[in-house]
Amino acid sequence: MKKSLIAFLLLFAGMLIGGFWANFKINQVGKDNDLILKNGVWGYFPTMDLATNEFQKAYIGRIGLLALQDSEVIYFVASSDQEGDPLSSSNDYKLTGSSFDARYWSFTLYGEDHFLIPNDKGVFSYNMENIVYKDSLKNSYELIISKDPKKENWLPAGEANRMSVLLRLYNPAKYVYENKDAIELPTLKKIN
Amino acid sequence: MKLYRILFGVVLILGFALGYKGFIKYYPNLLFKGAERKIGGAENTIRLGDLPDHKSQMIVKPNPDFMYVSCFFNLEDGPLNLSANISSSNYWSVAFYEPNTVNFYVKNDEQFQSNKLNLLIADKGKLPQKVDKDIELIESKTKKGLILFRFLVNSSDVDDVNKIKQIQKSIEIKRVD
Repeated sequence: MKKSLIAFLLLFAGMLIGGFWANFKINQVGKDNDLILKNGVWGYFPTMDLATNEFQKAYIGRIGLLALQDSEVIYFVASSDQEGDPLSSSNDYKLTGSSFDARYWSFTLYGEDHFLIPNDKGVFSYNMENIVYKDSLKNSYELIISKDPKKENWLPAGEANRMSVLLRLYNPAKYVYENKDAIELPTLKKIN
Repeated sequence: MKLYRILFGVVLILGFALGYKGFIKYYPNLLFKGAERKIGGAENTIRLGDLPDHKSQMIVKPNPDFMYVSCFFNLEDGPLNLSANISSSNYWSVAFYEPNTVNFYVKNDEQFQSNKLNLLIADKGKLPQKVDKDIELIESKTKKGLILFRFLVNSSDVDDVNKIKQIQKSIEIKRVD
């Protein structure tokens, strides 16, 4: 009887430790495994086929519940700058890039909790329609991520200890799908 | 005594494996349940969403350019018919999710042949034999799940926002007898 109780308690303890370890491993995604590939500062998943990868499904559930499959959208996320330092509202950043061959694209800034960052202006993102381009061909642009107001293309950073920028490419061209690792993505530089 | 120690060790490892695998497997289902609780509303009922902002804390990573419409479906009492009249030149899509968060169907405005959306969702193996030719059949592996519409909107244009709100009201879901 006593040995059965010990066995039960050990099984229970093992399950608890296993659960905590799984939770820890999910938190480690992007830090010490190859689930996420990189193109510059931008991380992406080789595939969004969540039906076949339970670990990725669990991770996506945490950071982007109800994400769409690859056929509809490609997601790129940046949570650090060109120097590899985590994005934080205590710094200003300049995101410099050019248009994408996609039906719709946007940059959205999120806090550490993966929700939109509160700000007085109520601006949380820029997309291909409302971004101010530097050229008449509507190709190149610069976004400023800062807690202090800027003249244009200002993504308010509020008071976020950690932040991430999510780039969404809806219905991108075929070559984008085939070259996620090589297409030209924006740079993200700390400017002060 | 030594044999028991080995057995106890095996039990501990077994427990660890069960805990690890179980967490990874069912964690998405827990998140889905959490989303269902936060979004609220009865099953098989359309829920219209507004433009997300920092107060939108139901689902992580909301897109502030989209107005969402959601419906948690339940096919236990039979197939459901999802219909809408969506006359918008903006991007929009409809996506279906299993309770484990897998997106098993998505189709956007350019892929539909008409403004009139007419889908019939049925549980696996329970698709009706005869349906009108303008109805698209969708087979769900699970009895329960989520339907999520995404409507791209120009948030600074009140007319555009109101237009999408009107379109959202055309979305209906009803049980097929």
